[in-house]
Amino acid sequence: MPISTQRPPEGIFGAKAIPIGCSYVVFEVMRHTDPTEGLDDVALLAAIGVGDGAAAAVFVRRYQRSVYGLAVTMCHDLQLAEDIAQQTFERVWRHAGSYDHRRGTARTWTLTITRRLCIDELRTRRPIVSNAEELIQRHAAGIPAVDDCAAASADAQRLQRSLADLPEGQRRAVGLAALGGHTTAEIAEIEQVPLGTAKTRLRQGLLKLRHDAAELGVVHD
Amino acid sequence: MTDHQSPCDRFDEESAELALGLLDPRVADDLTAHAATCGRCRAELDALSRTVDGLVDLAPEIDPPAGFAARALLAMAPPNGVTPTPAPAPSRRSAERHHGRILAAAAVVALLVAVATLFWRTGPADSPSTSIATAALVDASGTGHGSVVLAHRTGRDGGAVVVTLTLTNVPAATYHCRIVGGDGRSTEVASWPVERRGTDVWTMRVDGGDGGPAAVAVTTDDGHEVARATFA
Repeated sequence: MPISTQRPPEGIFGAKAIPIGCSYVVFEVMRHTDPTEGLDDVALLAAIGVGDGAAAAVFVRRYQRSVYGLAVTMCHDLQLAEDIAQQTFERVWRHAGSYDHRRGTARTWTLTITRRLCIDELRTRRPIVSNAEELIQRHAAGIPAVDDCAAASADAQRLQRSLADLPEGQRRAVGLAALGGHTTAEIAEIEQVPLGTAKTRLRQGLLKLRHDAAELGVVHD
Repeated sequence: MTDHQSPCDRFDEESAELALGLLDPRVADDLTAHAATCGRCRAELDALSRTVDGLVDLAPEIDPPAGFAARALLAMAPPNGVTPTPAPAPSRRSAERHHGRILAAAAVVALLVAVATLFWRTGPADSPSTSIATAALVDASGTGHGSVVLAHRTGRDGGAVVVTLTLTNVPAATYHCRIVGGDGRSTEVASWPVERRGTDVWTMRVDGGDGGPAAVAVTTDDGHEVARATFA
């Protein structure tokens, strides 16, 4: 039973109390258009910082797949990953005003929030290591193939290749730490190597990646 | 680590975990304080941190569950929720660069916050309870066209439902939103033109209706059902 044919341009359409069929009453109808859709990340975060809900909606749509993907990759728990992804955007909302584009991209800033939330959650929820091989399979050997990578950018592909070229122990240590959130003490236990060895593997692995990236101009230090 | 280690040696031992954010905060603070006074260690930390940033970028993108964006927005800007931390004064250059675009964005300020607050302020009183339900908006072939989130509030004065409809991946046309009751009867509650393919987000408050909507459907002018979100 159609009761109105509203053709609103934008914005809030006045509060109406229209008796309609099925005993429903329509009070307000509001349309959120997307004038912020074309804004770059820096402008979006600036707008979010002053409480712009439309900018927040655009930002969520732009990064929800990356944020959720990272959370799933690190946590291997879909419900927990969704909770963390939601917490990530809550923090973006609260702290957008403190974002400094000179210190990194909005994407990196956002994913760093996600990664830290994952690490915090994993620290409290991580089960006792019972199947080291499974953990390694999950995190270290499970680093996504280039085709599956978020950006699949040239930089990401170079980094992926550098990662693949690392010695096995270093590659696993980097994977367990960076995407699994494992400390070197946990890596030592998982890999059944001395703590010093785990520390060395992780540091050497990251330094090698940094070296390769610097040579290729990916990391500009 | 031994007592004979220099600060830089100790930093080297822990720098990878520091860059990864895996250290105990007190240890991390000590090392960060050292890096602040040592150019070599600060440069190493910066470089390792950027490497870690790159690794995080390798995680795959995965579609979150249906309705995630709407739920995240509700969490970001709840009806009586937290306002963002005020931004520090932007640099002159930054302010000039983005001023115009932010003004444009500000023209549609705080849409979700405002509308949600407005809705609940006029909603039923007497300590109502609220439940959230989400369903994907799919067409007959199962292709997704967005989502619908129902925030259903019940109270002494009856029920009120805030319907947040996100419509995507549809061609330019005029679309109609229909609420389908438990008895199968449907009622049009809004219509709007979509000028270009993109994403439209609509929020509607409808009061009444026993048990809340069983489904929300989107139709075209000729009554063809484009997509439907069905609630159990």
